[in-house]
Amino acid sequence: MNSNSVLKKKICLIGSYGVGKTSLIKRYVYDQFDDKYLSTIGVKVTKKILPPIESNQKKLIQLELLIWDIEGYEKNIPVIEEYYMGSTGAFAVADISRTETIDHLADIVKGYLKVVPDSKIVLVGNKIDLKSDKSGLKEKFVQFANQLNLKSFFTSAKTGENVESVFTYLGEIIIKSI
Amino acid sequence: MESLKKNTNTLDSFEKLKKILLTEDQQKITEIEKKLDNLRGQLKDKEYFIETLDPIFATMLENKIIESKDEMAEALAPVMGEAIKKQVEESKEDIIDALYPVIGSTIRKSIAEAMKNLVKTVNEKLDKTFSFVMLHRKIKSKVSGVSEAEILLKESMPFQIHEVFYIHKETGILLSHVTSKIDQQTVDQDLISGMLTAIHNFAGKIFGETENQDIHKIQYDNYQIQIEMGRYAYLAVVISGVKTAVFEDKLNQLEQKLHQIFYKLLREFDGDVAEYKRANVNISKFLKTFTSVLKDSSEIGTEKRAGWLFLSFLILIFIILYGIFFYLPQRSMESTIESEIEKIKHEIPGLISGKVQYEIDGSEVQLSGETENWIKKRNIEKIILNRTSAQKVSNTIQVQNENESSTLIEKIKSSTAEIDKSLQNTLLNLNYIFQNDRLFIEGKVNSLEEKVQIGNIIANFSEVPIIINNCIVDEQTFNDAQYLINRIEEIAIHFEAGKSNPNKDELKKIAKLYNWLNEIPFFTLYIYGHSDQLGGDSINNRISQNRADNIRNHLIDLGLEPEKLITGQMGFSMPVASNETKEGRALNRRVTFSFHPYR
Ligand SMILES: Nc1nc2c(ncn2[C@@H]2O[C@H](COP(=O)(O)OP(=O)(O)OP(=O)(O)O)[C@@H](O)[C@H]2O)c(=O)[nH]1
Ligand SMILES: [Mg+2]
Repeated sequence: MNSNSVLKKKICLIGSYGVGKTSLIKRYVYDQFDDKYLSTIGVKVTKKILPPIESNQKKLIQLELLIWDIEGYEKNIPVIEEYYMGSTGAFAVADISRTETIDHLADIVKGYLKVVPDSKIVLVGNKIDLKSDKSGLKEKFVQFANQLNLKSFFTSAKTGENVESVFTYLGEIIIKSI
Repeated sequence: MESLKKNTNTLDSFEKLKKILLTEDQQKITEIEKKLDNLRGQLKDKEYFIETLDPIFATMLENKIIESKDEMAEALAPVMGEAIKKQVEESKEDIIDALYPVIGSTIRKSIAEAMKNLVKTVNEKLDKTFSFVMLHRKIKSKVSGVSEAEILLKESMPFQIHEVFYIHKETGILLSHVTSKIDQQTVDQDLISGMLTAIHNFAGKIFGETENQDIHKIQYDNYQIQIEMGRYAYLAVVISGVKTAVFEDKLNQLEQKLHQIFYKLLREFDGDVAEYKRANVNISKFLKTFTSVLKDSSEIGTEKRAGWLFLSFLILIFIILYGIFFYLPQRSMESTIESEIEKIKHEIPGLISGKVQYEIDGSEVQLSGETENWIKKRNIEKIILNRTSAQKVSNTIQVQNENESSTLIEKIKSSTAEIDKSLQNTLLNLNYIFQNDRLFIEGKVNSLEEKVQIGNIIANFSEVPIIINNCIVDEQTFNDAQYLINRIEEIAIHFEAGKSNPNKDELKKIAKLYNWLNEIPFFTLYIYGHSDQLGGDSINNRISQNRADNIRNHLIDLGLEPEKLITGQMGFSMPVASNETKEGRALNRRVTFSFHPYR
């Protein structure tokens, strides 16, 4: 590897349907947001090149993320775990206005880690812009993250809040783990 | 749409085809149909595929075409083949985005529904766009048969290798890529490799578990993507025309060669693809045995190539695969309904919440549990019927405080300043009985007018949708009945322009009417619909009939016997105000009632 090398890495977005996986990618890659909901079928691959990050060996590495936007988990529809294969990291996304999307996340993460045990997972509580948090779902989400001992973020694909940072964060931990 | 600019292919037949296609919009659409039919013909199990594809087209047409005919033609273009491809090339990547979500939303959410309502909805919606009605008919009626245009196209296609992808199997990351095309625009080859790999993942899971059963051919229109699977990586070769005999052998040899060179690196693949540039030498050599012009990716540098077309192919294939899979009949209905209900839950928070449970049995939804009031109970049922594929809803939701008339009486007591004393006393002395979503009022009142008044007051205070006013008037006279008959014949229920359902305020009149009708003996009530004078005869007759029908249905829902209710359409023949002014027209759009037929 020379001093400024390019690495291609596959990452996945997993979580229940409608939590905003596609929207997060759209915000991050194109800086756009759409209120319309068009459910993802199968997988859609997108690419984003990150600014160079310094590795533990003091090398500058340019990370090229191949982002696999995987159709959301839905009851009665089989999960295709093959999609997870070979990924280095993943965002496990929940919608903090829908409690069941947090409930399902444990199983989804478990299923994912079965396929790629060494993958880096970042928990993302999306739709933080929907402010009323009557039933304490934010807290529930933080608790869930603590249980699994995973780092968690709150984001909004709608306003863009924290979106850039979660991707940068995942990029960094991927590089640091090389 | 812009016409062809580039003149790339000089083959005569091709030119002919282009001319046919581009003479006129209408002409073009006809050709699109032919190609579509033809595509269907190529698929093995025709009937099945057509069934599978129809809902796709239904919703595509529904959503997109009405919005924009041109955009739709563009979205369909990748399916259509070389000639149109040229044209669409100018609008590039948008197509992928246009194509993907349109079909995407269809399969998952509405395949079951669309199958059922196909003919109906499509015909309804497409009435507007003549040319697409045609398209739909063609899709339905013409099944196979190679069109003339298609034959021309085929003849003009010698065997060609367009692109070679060398792809890491697990991650789908592109290791190396060589193309024979030099100057065309494209999306990122990385995305193509990713999508190809995802298709492979999906097909592997659904159609067979073992390595040997990998799909190794993806046939699409004039193109074929041939896959040569290796241990850690695979080759995907885009070809067209008729394969030469040695092609598959050579391809297999190429894979083995690459495996020898790279297997150690591949075993520890970490995303660094620099090393794999070396593969280009071998791949180019392979290509040269079949083609004369070619370049490898690294030589072309950052210039983009013509891969977007394939990307949209791939996405379409993916979607078709999903279509087949998710169309497996019994599963789709229940899970469709379930996801639709979950979506409603998400969109209308608090409606189907907490103590409301639902179970889905085929196309029937059974509601149970508890909710705060009648309105909610009704709304849940209505919304599920309207917004999901459910055909039937059985609603056994209990309403909290169902039997507590005391709260109602409390309400009346605490806010009866405007009610005069005697009436208030009567109100307090009556009995209120709740049963299902009905409130029965029983007891004695002083006059028929008072009875009616009381019914109206209670209606204002309670949220119960149906009030049965069983109060007994001490000495009911013929005059009382006549009074009500006159009042009923004065009622006019008004409608907004173009609408045949009354708004909420107007609906209240129906409840009042119902209460009055319960007081008088009658054989037949004639319900007449009227319209204003905008638009032609037939449209106004139709809308006035619809208005009368809708009101009749409301009365039946409330409990009146259908045989007592007869409707009539008056169109604009009986105006009560001037049709020259907005206000006048508003008064003319109405439904009236009579106990005698109009003559
Ligand atoms: N208010 C708000 N809405 C959001 C946000 N992110 C996504 N949405 C909306 O939520 C809906 C679903 O978003 P998608 O990004 O399509 O969800 P998904 O997770 O990709 O769903 P599937 O593809 O079905 O798995 C869309 O209507 C979005 O507009 C957000 O941060 N805030
Ligand atoms: Mg999505």
